[in-house]
Amino acid sequence: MGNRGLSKAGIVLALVLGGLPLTVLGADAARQPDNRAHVDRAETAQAQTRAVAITEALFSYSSADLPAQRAEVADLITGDLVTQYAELLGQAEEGVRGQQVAFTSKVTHSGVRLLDPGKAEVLLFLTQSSTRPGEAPQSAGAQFVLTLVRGGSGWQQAKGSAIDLLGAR
Amino acid sequence: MNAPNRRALVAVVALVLVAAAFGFAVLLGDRTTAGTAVPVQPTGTPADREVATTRDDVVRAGGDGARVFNTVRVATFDADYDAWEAVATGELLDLLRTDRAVNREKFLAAGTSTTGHVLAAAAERIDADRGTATVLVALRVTTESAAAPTETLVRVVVTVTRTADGWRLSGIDHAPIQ
Repeated sequence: MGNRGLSKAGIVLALVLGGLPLTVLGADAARQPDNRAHVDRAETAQAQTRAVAITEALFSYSSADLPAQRAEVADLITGDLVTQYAELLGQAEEGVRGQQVAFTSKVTHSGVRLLDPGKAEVLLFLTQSSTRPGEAPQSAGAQFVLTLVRGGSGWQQAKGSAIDLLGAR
Repeated sequence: MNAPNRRALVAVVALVLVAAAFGFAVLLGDRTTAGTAVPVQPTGTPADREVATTRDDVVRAGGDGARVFNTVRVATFDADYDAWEAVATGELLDLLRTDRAVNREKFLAAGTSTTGHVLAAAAERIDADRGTATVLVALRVTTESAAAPTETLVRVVVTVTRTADGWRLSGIDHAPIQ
């Protein structure tokens, strides 16, 4: 992939991620006295797995079928992220207007930094590939913190409630 | 020297060169947030508290190490490089010492300074029994050269190892776009 391709991919990712308002998260979130991240290994692993699944679902979609994407992720997000994600897809729609682009996202690294009885914060490193008909796939990286709200029966049913893009614009 | 250590060396040099490729502004008073936090006594059983303390220690060591390794300025190269050595351990430290003159020459020839600021850090994996952990760190790196300062977001994966003096960096690499 040449530099031009990378740059283009970066723009695509900026379009995809750029619309999300930042959520102010405490810088010292990990140093809360009731933080069970890595202390409760089972719940940490569950929250991590769930965060990865939600992230990959949110950022993998086809520009040709955004209504389907909205329906698919409806059960994965709650709170502020519902509005944020609607804005995001709106921006993505604008950014790829008239183009057929398929986005596929893969979490390459993830770590739980906070786990309390109701909430988890997971730092995720993501690679997003975009594919246009007749063109080679392009990839770009992103990093953000996804906040999860625990489900009634556990972290397997947790929903994403906020994304902190860590200053990405 | 085995393969992982060669990679560590490559990563160190890559950090310098990547930093040199950008441009930048010195942020005075920049500190890793975790490093300045007031320690909080974790709740739970004594065993839980020990694990929580280990987690906070590795995240702090990883975050601070990543910041240090993304901070090297033309005007203070030797002090900054001393800081690299101070947070490193094992063969990574050996390599830093061995290649100090070479790295110095390369860096000063590039003439670009960088300052790292940790945005977020989290442990990906902790193996307390073996005394190793993997920490993910997202940073904003400000680069300064003859051109206008620029900022870039950087993500690194660091490995930390427990030593008699606490947790130290034993490896650092950019998280690749795969």
